[in-house]
Amino acid sequence: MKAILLILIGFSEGVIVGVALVAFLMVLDVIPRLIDLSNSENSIFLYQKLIVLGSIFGVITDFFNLTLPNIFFINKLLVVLIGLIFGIFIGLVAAALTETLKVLPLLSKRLGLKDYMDELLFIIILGKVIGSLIYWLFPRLWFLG
Amino acid sequence: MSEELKCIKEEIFLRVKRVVKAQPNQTLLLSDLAEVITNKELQDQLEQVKVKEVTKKAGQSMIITALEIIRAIKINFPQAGIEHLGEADVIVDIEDTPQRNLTDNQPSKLYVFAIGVILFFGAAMAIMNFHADVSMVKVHQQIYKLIMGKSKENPLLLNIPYSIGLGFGMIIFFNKIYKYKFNKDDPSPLEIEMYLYKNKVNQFSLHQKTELAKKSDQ
Repeated sequence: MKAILLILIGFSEGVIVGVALVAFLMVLDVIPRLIDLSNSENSIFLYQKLIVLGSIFGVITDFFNLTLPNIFFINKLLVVLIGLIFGIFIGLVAAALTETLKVLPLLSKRLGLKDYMDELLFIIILGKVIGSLIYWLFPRLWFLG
Repeated sequence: MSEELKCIKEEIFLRVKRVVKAQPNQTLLLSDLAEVITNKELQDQLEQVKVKEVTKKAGQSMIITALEIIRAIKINFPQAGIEHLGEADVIVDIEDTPQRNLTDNQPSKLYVFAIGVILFFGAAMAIMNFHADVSMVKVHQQIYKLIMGKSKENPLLLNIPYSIGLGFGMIIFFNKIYKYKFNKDDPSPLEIEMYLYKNKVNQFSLHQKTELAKKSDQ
């Protein structure tokens, strides 16, 4: 009996988390913006399948301790590549959040800095990159002991 | 034949503007309040039609309904058929002297610098807090272990490309970096946001001024 209860709870949990994840991606308009930029409206179904597959892959990675076989330098290349792709995705999400998207126009209109909006945007992006670098280069910031 | 030509009804297309600025004691002509299209011979004459005089003081607003405009047209062109497109009211803002061009002087460099410093450090702290919030450390360690086979406490090989990619992602989203656009005719989300925000502000101030002008008319 307890097994059935566990299965039920796990399944419902998965459904809700999956819906929440997709809703999160949708609400921020990240994916529609990418589709718009690349003019690839025909591949929407492909993107849907890839998102689902990617999420399942993420779950498997999280719960099972898999390791890839050691193929000399390709491993390091793969690490760098995945880091880059990961960063690009988080960058898209971070740019789409309200804290960046709506704050800039509001600030520039309120404070009379309309001409400087390009420079300010660049400063924000630079700030985020350097902040991230600092975070990783100084383990004391996140080392929990 | 020439008599028939004279009896052709003129057709006037009237498109009323939404907001107009004026000075105290100015006589408002039709061309100030609306756009008109009519037969070529009558166009200049039509645009000079006087509609109303500004009777209020600077800082107040006046409302002129489209009917008043049409009445003024009818006085001068009794035979005209008028097609009305656009708004039903014009809001006239009464300002003193055209000081608009002088008050928008450039904000001082110190001001811009201070704002820039705040934005820079604020963005850095926001991203650091985001990382701490979602415990990205553990995820990176897991991914590093997945691919490399060994576990490492500070997987720099993953973290540094991640930070660079972070910058790229934001640039891709906004599609412009320091005035250089990649895809020339694509409106950046920032411009869309500015447009939406301006629209909201305009609609609200329109509503406010309509209320104010209606009260002072009573």
